[in-house]
Amino acid sequence: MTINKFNYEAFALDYLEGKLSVELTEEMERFLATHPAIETELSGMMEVVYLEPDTSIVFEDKAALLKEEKVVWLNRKWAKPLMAAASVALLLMTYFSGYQAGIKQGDNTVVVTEDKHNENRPENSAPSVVATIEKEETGIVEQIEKLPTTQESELEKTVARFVPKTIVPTKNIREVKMEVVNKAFEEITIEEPTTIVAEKIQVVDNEGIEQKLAPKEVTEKEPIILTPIASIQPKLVNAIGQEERANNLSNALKVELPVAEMAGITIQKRKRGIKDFLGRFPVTQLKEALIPSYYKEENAGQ
Amino acid sequence: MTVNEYNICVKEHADGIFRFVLKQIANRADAHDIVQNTFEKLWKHREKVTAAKAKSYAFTIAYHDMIDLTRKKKFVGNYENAPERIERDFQTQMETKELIEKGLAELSDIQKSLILLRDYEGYTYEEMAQISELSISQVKVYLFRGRKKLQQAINRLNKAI
Repeated sequence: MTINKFNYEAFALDYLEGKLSVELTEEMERFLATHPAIETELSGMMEVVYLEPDTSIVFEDKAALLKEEKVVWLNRKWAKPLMAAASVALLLMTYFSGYQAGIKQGDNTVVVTEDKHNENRPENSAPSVVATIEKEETGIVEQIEKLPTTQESELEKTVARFVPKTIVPTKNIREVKMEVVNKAFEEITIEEPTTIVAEKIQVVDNEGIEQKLAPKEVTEKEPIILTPIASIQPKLVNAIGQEERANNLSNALKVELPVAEMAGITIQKRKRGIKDFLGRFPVTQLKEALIPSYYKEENAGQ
Repeated sequence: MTVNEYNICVKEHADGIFRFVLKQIANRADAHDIVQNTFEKLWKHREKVTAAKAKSYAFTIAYHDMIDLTRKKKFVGNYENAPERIERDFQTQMETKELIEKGLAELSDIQKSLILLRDYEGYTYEEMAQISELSISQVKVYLFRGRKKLQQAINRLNKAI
């Protein structure tokens, strides 16, 4: 028996309204036959009171709640520039989506960097990556101030380009992605097309042990092996000659890593970021330190 | 939900929500604010809410806003309606409508809300459970007890006249 004195109330209304199934109605009647007090209680409710809405009561300010659809009419004067802007946006979107697809579906490998520097970050860095970016960003600004002025402006510009400063910690990854796309839209000009393709990737950890796969960027001509920031630290010291400056710079480069570890945007950002960074940075030794194979091949070509 | 669907929702359900709230808090200004707030929230989240779910969504917001408000008012003491109640006690003739009003006033907030959702808007047990964040069985029990109490109150008041 499923109906008892503890649960009969849940069936009572349906019983009174005749909405119980045949089996349950029979069960209810058997139950009531053995519980006269409850039967009296229910028989006193044979005329259930139902309320009727008072239609004279209306909400008079409905007009204030209504919204208008926005219709934008294009002025002939603005049509061309807007269409041009739309094509650029389309181009960028195609680039980003195609790029991601290439990484995920082709022979290429998705970037997973195991950087010892990550240990310094909070354990829950994955969901709060954005917060980490901001934190690191602050760190970078402080670090940049210690660099010589000629490098400072260049570095600052580059870092500013790739650190989404407007991102707030409450945004989710999708919103961050959009920020990056929007940022790219603002910053990238058509004169500087990027033709990076991801291919097989190799990574070396702090101890120089090959561990996982890391990004390897390939231009149309020659492959570039990117080394994780942690493992290039000694090379940076050698290249720059001063440990403090090398530290500053390597910290600045770390900006890319938290971004790089976010699923989705990571690869785009890191590849574009580092490539552009290296392309603009005036210190040639740095390029050599960061991507030795690139230099080796370039020099061999000459 | 498109702008058009949102506007349809305003036109079709603003009155119902207003009635539902006003019946329970008996204060036009508060009921007005709750309806306004409900549609502001619906507009804000329109991308997440489908047109089919808009009505339940709006009722859920209004229901919870109303609970918050009544809790707040109970905490500070509800004297607003006191003169009206005393005045009504002096009335010798009571129509059925008024009997029901009085009977309703004796129900608990949750019983009242569920009866109104059921009778005014024709919500199913499942929908009411969603709006009030109760289980379906709980909804049925509250509804049964509410109706029983309402009927007893009406009978009692009827005899007293």
